[in-house]
Amino acid sequence: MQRIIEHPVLGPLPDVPMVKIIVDGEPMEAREGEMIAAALIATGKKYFRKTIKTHEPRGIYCGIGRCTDCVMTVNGIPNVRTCITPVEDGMVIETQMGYGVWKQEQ
Amino acid sequence: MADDKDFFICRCEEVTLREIEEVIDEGYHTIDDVKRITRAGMGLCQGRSCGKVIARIISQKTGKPLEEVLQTSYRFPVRTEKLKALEEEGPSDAENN
Amino acid sequence: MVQSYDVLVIGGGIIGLSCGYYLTKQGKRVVVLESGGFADGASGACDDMILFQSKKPGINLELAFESLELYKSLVGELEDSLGFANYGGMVLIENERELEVMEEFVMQQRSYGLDVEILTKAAMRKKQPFLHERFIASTYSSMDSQAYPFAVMHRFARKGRQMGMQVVHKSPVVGIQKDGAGDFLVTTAQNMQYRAPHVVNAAGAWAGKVADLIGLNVPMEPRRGQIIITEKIPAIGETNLWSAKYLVTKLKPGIQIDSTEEEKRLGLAFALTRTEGDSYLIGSTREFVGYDKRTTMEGIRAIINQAVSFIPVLKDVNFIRAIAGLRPATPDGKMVLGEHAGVPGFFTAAGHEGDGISLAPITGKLLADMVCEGRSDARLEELSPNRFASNAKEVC
Repeated sequence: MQRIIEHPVLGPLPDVPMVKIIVDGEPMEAREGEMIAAALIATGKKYFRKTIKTHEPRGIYCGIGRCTDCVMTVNGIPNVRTCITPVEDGMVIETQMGYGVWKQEQ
Repeated sequence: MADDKDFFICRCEEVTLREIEEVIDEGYHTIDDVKRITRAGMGLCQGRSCGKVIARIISQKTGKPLEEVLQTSYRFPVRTEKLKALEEEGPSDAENN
Repeated sequence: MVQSYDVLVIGGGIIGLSCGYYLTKQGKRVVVLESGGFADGASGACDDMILFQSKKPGINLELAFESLELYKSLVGELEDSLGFANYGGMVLIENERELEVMEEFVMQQRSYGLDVEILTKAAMRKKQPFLHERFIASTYSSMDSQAYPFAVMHRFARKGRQMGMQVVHKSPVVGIQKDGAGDFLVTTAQNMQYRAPHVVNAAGAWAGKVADLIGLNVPMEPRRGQIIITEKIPAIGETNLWSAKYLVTKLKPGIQIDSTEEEKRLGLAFALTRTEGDSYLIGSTREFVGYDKRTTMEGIRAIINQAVSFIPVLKDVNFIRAIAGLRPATPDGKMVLGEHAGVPGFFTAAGHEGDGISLAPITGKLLADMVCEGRSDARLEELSPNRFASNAKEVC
């Protein structure tokens, strides 16, 4: 786990309920209300997608929803900015290759 | 193969410093010119990460003041948004104002 | 100081650059004067289609065929892919009335050599699985193609420059005169002067204003087209799409089609194309609002509502930008191409409205032939600027 337990300004990490998320098929736990990117970093995952042209791995870059580097496929929808999208119980999160894949609803 | 110019300036469209400098050398000296030719700034973040860097590269290469290079147009929407955020319920002629 | 050339091209959009390129290729010394920057006008704010199905059998369709062939050879000539692709196109049909009109239209186009057919609902859905259920059939043509306008323009300019063509940005033309020797003297807002025996007016929606500088009448009205652009997404179908409603109203204005007041006011029509950058361009409006090229909330909202009603999955797609361009519209829907009888040496190549990308190469090539060899096909007579001479004040 890579979390800041004791923050010099914000103080100790408060207790919150945990939720279940599924990351590339693996069930994992996340703190309720935290951003997807934070939950993934805590599990040690740094590589969120591969780029379209050069197929390079990407993860968190700006961390504030501007740069769109950290996008993943969430609940079947590609290009979700994980650094500003909170986790939800049962959320399915997938490493995105290029622009991802459409899931046919019908 | 990789030297100091083969790194990305525009991360969304994966455009390198080398590609941007080539276009500036051809005589295109505005952010819009560079964007339209290289696609730098046309990606998902719409130049919010690279726009100012490109302005500085143009300014350094051409000697134009940075403030002059920075004068460019920003297009709606200011931030990328899902289509459903603007989609209205019901028929589109039910205009509310 | 006055700079001398063989030809002055006014307008650095895709038409002006194509004219400049083909003239330079034929050995002319050319300068292209652009009032703004690279792709500042309609050529930089349009979709990328080389459409056949939208064209009535006649000169436009004929020239589109020739333009497609030129595009194929330009890929080698300009040493670039030009974003040229051949995804094919489908016109979506919502009801029996539209089907009837489209069947007739497809017959006409087939007799003219266009490879186009009507698909059953099942065949249509196979190609477009994300389409809304309500569509009953569609057309399909494998010929509909596309090119990436920015790449085409940049490569025309680059190759042209290598052969000696000049392109000058931020140079709006403010005066055109004829001097004693019969040459044109063109003055820009920066007080630069250019001299040449030939002038090509390729100023798009502004072509009327440019012609006016030398006392000529070119009836041209700007027609605003708004388009939205999505993020890069996986392909949502095999081909590019547009709505039969638009074609039916264009081809058979007499037929009553259910349109809302807003749709009529905006000239709303559905068009969807996958771009070179793997984004989708979704359009569009056709509005007469003068030279106002801003996007509007009403227009964007209408385009979005329509798009989601055609392809529901689009609701979860990010749109990253909205653009608007002023399409140059002529009263008879045909471009203006040729020499003005009243002022020999002065040519106009403008008025393509929504066909600028389709017809840019053939326009440049034909124009260069006219200037260099002084010849013009009899079939191009119907495009001549002189067709407006007698009804000078009818338009605008």
